[in-house]
Amino acid sequence: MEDKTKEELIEEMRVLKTRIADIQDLECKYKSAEIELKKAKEELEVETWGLAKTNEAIKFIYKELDKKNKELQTLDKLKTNFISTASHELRTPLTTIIESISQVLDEIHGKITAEQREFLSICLEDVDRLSRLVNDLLDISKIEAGRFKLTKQQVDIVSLAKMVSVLFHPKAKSIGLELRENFCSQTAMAYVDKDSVIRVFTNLISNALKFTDKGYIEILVMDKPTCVECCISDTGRGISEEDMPRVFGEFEEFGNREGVREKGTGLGLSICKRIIELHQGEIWAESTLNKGTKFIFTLPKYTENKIQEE
Amino acid sequence: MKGVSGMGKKILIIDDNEVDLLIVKRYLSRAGYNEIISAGNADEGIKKVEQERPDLIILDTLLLSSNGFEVCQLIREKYNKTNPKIIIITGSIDAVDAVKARKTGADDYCAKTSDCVPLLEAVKKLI
Repeated sequence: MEDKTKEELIEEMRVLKTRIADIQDLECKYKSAEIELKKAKEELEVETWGLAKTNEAIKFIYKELDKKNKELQTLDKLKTNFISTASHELRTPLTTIIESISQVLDEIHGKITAEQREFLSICLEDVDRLSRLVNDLLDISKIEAGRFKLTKQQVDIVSLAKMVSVLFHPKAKSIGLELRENFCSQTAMAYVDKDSVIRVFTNLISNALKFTDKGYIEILVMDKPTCVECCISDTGRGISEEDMPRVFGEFEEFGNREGVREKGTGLGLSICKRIIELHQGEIWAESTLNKGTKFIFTLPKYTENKIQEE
Repeated sequence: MKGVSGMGKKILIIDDNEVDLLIVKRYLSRAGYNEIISAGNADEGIKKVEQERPDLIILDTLLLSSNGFEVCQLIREKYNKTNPKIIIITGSIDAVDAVKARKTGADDYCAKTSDCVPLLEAVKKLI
């Protein structure tokens, strides 16, 4: 063995001390890393647990929503069936009442006094309204139940509009309104269910007559390249912006109803919308308060291959 | 039987939805838990924790003036970490957040369903 000098030994000691310090430092770092790792592991555990629980909860809530949804659908069906049955039951006696009052008013069974006539007329008017309401309800429930069948055929909307318009001429004249017709072409062939389109025209025109005090009502039919567009416009009291979103809602009657000549059922526009939608058409309203309202709707055009499509 | 050990324990339900409260109460008492108390809002709930010292608290995530997570944290800060036990429940997809529940000190977290199955399981595990 070689003898080391004192200096050499001191030097070795110094090196060793630094190494020990380095090792201690490393040990310290390792320990804190271990603590951090443990913390991270714990946090990860919480996150994993949380995600699993969250997943489970979402699954249960979806199941719950699905159950509620099915319950609501059943209730909705029950409601539709109830309305349809009730409407049927209501319609029968109403027809009898209307017929009987009409016979008395027509003096088939003897003369009546002016006062009796007045009261009976009030009765008839309200029974008539009730009857319209029941009919509208029946239609709505039929549409909702998917039992409203369209019998589509080739229909000329211009002549259909003319025919409906003629029916309203006497009424318009009696309240001092002009009924204008504006047909952009000789014919406008559409592929629709005739009766229900007549219903839409009738509803919209009688609405326009109800809400217009002076001016005119215009029926416009345009044969467009992709559809037949119809517009019933009036110079009536208009619909306010805030009422606009409720226009096609059920049982919605709004705005200033003072002086409105005839009470509605609140279902007419809703039925119009449903009929147009059943035809894959669109219906919308444009209005300025106190200036007038436009109801515009589109109907599918008649083409040779229309029938083949179905 | 696991359920038996939980009998005689006091359960506090904090939920502002009266119908949900009734449903949870009914299922718990059917499962044999006979000491059930309830609170319709956070403040009343915290008061009842003080007065009644329940063994388990069932907390809804959505409360009128507060939320279940906040109430859970408050209770944990005031009392010790393991007692009372706390289950946070939710019936709303928007409020599903089990990580938050655990971080605010809840022992378990589950969905609120009309048959209370997940809740009953969680209760059985804890008391």
